[in-house]
Amino acid sequence: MSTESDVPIEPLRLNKLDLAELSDEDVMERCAMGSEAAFRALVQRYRTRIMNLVCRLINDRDRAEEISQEVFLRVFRNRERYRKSGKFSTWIFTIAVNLTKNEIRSRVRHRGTFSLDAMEEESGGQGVSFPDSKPLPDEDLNANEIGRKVAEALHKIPARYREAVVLRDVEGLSYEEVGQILRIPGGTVRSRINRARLMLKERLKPFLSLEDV
Amino acid sequence: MNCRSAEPLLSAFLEDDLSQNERRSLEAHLLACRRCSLAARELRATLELLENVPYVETSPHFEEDLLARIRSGEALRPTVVEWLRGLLEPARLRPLFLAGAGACAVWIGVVLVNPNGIIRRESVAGLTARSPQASTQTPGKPAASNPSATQLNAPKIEVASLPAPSAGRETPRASRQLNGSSGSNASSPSGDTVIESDWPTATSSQDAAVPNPGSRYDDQYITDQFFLERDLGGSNNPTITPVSDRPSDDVYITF
Repeated sequence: MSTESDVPIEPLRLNKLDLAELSDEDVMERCAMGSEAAFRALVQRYRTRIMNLVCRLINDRDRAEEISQEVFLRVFRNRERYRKSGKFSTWIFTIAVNLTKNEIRSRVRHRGTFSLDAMEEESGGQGVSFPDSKPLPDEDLNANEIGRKVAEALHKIPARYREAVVLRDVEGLSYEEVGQILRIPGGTVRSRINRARLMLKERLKPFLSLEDV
Repeated sequence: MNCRSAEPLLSAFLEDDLSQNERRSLEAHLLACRRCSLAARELRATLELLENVPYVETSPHFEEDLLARIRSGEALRPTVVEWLRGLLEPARLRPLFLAGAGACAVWIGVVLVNPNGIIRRESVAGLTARSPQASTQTPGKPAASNPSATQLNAPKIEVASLPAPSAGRETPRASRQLNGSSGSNASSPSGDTVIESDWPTATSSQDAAVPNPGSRYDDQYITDQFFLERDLGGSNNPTITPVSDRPSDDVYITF
């Protein structure tokens, strides 16, 4: 005869229920204590956002997936270093942006160019782009031609403006968070975002449906 | 407000991030300027496009690949930067920092105490023994014996009687150590006292340019009352001869 205490408990299921109600910071704290379920929860919450961010910045889907994996590996490796006082989203986006910058730098070096600015000058101020032979998922959808045009326009603007506008307008972060991630003051953040929007406006003009302000 | 000053404010205007005065000025300009009004509408449409850009999804096996890399341990090796950062963590650096600070404090202390960088021999043998209060004795008062460890192995010269000191100069008339570093006083058998305070110390009279192979028989401790005769071959049997014409039978050397 089995008592109530003999009933096996499914720890993963319970953990999932618990974790769904916790904030990112609390889940990360559990991850730091060695909970694999907590780490999986974080991966599920952020993998699409990280992948999207990296892909929008380097325009290379395969490489973006590798970098996204590396982002989560860094999170796991440095889980004990995370301080709950800071926002987890800011922390993980900072890791992603830094790894993406490293990727862009290594590509520039591989091309024999010594700086992003030099490369931007070479392209006549058109920005640095690394077109991928493989189509983005947007391209698979005929109805999403505009989305593809946006991605193309993003890759035509200089990297420092692109990363600011992607974090703000694609990822929906606040100006303060963008400033923390890019380590630039608030005024510079606003200036870069405004400039990036104006550049994108010029490139996307043929696809805009205008309404009254 | 003109077009040039209106353009940087368009983003903030669309996000409702302007002050009331700025907003009123810009709205007035947008009503009057067709070009800026069009730019504002284009910018709003651009923002809507950006907000609606579809997300790029990860591959279906993203999570499994990631967990497999973690479980294998192969992907968990720290990078060079992480390894260096680990080395430079405050918790690791604290003991090194404290040790370095301690070493610096000791060094600064040594420099402050001894700014010339010379450790004087008196300080090693006991500076108090050389102080005037300890070493200078007034005539008529017998000097208290103050033996030190260096005295035990040092040869002694005992002078039973010596010629009278020359005028204007007080000369030591009794026993003292040949190595002389401790500078202790002793009464002569006849009860005469010894004044040593004006005697040159080993270090103060030594010339660094002059080699001194046999410090045990250092002739600087021999006053003008004695000659130290030592052959250049470094003989171990030096002889001490009084300066005076008197016979030397009143000089005794004890090793």
